[in-house]
Amino acid sequence: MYAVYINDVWFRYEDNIEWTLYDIDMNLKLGTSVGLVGPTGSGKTTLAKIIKGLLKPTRGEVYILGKKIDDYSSIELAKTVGYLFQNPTHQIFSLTVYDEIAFGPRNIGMENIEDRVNKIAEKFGLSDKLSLSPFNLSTGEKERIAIASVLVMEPEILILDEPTLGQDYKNYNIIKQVIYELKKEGKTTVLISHEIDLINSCVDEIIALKNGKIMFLGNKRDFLKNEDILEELSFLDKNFNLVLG
Amino acid sequence: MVRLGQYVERDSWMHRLDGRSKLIFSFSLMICGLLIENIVILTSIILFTILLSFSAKIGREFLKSLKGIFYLVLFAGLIWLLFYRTSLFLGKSENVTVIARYGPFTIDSLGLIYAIRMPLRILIAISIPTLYFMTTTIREFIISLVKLKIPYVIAFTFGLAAQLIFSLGDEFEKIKEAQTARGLSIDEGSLVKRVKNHIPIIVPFTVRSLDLVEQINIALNLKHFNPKKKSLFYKEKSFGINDWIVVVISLFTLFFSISLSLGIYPRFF
Ligand SMILES: Nc1ncnc2c1ncn2[C@@H]1O[C@H](COP(=O)(O)OP(=O)(O)OP(=O)(O)O)[C@@H](O)[C@H]1O
Ligand SMILES: [Mg+2]
Repeated sequence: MYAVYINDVWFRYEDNIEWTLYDIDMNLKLGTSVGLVGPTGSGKTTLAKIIKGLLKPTRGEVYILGKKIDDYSSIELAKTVGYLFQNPTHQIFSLTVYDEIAFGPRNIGMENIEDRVNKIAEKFGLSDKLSLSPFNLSTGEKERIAIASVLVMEPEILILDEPTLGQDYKNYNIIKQVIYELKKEGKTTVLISHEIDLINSCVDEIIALKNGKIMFLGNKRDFLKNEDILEELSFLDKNFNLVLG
Repeated sequence: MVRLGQYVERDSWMHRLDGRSKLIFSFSLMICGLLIENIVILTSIILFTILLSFSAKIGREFLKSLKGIFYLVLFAGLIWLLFYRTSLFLGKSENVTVIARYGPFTIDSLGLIYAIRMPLRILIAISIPTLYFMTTTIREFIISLVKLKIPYVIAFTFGLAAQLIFSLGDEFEKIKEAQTARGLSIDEGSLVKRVKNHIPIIVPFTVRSLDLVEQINIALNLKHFNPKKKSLFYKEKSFGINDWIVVVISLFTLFFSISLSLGIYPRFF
């Protein structure tokens, strides 16, 4: 059984003439972590939203844990697939960090919420901030709260859409550490990122998109060795030399 | 998602028209819609607008964005049908025939007319600006206002407000998605519960709105925005023959609707 199985999916935004995704075929085994990479506008977020069931493919089928995605209720899907959005300010609304993290678990009716929140807060270095207002915290802390509030729901499949965007080095490392541990724990993860270093440390497989088509699908090592593809996907620029001093 | 009245890039004669002539035209057509009571003419105005949208190559987008307000219009019709008697705009009622009575509700011939006329007017009042903004960039809208001697600050504020509304629509969608992903279901439970369900959306939305406003504020200050100086743009789109034709048609429309509403029928009619 695959965690995610996508069969011949095409997608077009309602008002667009062109397809945003063409002929996507892919699967994700349980316990693998995959990096979803590609230039801006290549369709990464769109594909991720299809896996999360937020967008319905125009053509083709999506199966989550062997069950057709249309057969999931919204609560079930919220439990099964966790999704971290590009911008944490889109989700923060509670008066305290604690409530913010506990929001998802309450929605899906989890038990022992207090223990879970405390445990996850510790992992993200938020234990001493639980009673503070999330609005006054730094961007890095907000991002950590956002990740924690998704992880606390213990989804079987986790999608992270650019979790390190705009983070400083210290925060970047904290987040990287967490994602790395998720991989070691064998969590099924889809990581969207432009950071080659993050991809290198935190995933096993790569799906590379360009203009809505899959350009590369396979092992991370093969991907990183393939300079042509790296160049094609703007991860590498052979003609550019940084001159310092 | 097609947003009501967002600019759609196409190459059409409507897009090429000067923002001013389009503005004058839209304005006179809207006044026409307000003054005229004849249902056939009102319907024709709407059909005409739809026709225009197709000739501007945005027919599909235009109809789709109007679909979004369909229920609003339907609702307005229902309200007028049942409650038109309480309206302040109503003069003395003429000979009215009662058609049906259900408990406290009475449906009569005049109500029926209102139930058709008012939704048509609402539709006109929404669809004409929609068509305008779908074929005119906000930037050009501001320039047009300025060229029509509207004070720059006012023109700029209008433009900014229009821009902000579109951005906020985007933000709202994103927030809704993010909270749904965490298991929020808006349409469940009692009425009170449903209202409460919106808090996780409204709070981030307010915060994001204020953020946006602050960003704009900072950007304006950084660029030393001075409302007295209108130094920006002015790569002119000149007022061509098409524009003059449109202006003449507008004036004619205005003249026609005013005389009709005053009960004076032009000779040639
Ligand atoms: N709501 C929408 N309506 C119409 N088109 C959209 C919408 N969202 C995205 N698109 C278009 O679909 C294409 C793919 O966008 P998507 O957000 O999936 O790219 P991405 O790979 O996530 O880019 P980034 O790295 O910048 O986040 C883009 O060309 C974008 O303009
Ligand atoms: Mg994206």
